[in-house]
Amino acid sequence: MSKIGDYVKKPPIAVGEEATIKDVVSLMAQNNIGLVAIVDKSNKPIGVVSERDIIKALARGAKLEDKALDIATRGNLLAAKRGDDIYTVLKAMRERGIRHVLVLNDDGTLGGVVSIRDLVEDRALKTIGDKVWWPKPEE
Amino acid sequence: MKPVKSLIRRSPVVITPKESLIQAAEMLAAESIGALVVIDPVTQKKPLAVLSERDIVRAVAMKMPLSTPVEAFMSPGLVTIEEDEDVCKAAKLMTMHNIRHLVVVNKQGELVGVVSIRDVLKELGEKC
Repeated sequence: MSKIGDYVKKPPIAVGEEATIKDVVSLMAQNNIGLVAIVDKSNKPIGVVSERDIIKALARGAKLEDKALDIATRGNLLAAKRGDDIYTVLKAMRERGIRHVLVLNDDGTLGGVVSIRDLVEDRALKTIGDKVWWPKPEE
Repeated sequence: MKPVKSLIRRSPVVITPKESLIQAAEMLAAESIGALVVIDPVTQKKPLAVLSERDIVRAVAMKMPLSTPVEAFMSPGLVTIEEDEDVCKAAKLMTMHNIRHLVVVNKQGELVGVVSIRDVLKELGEKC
């Protein structure tokens, strides 16, 4: 259980480029998640919208009918391949102060989203802890 | 706009400063929540700080053992809101302080509950 792909539990929750903020809020509420990815027609991620993005946008006066892409984080998204080591990914998340990482399939399409919560589970902590505190000699 | 106390859905999950990060992680996982309130062990009512998932990740990234007491990694600068303030104020405080959890207190400063960014978003999403 040391690969980030092991923590992808379900298909990603994503919307298309035309989705509204309301669509994103509904998906968050229905699925109890904190991040929704925006994908292009070939299912490659082009942006992400977090709970914080939405709160800030609503506070600025955005309407629920506005396009989600306009308030999304775009470009330089943190993404990992399924085979990437979880500790490396966790460090990258921490360095950027973000809670979610996009997990990509080999063809660059979106395979899943892993949140910091998934990595604070017992088995993840154990795996990460083993790596951090008792590194094998070859590492 | 509703008072912030209307968003509180459960009694707060608390921990004391000398308990360990692994106990905190187990509580977060068991309760499916993102943050615990660290309370004064004597009064059991006065909130001292919040310990979030992010604090545990920070400890792991710093290669600290999870037997470390909570007090070493709890977020300093507790941000509280009084229970009768409105949800809009809660959203502003979260944005201003870049936090995801607000500790809700009564007039005496005693812990009433916790409101998360998710609770606020659900309320704002329905209102707008």
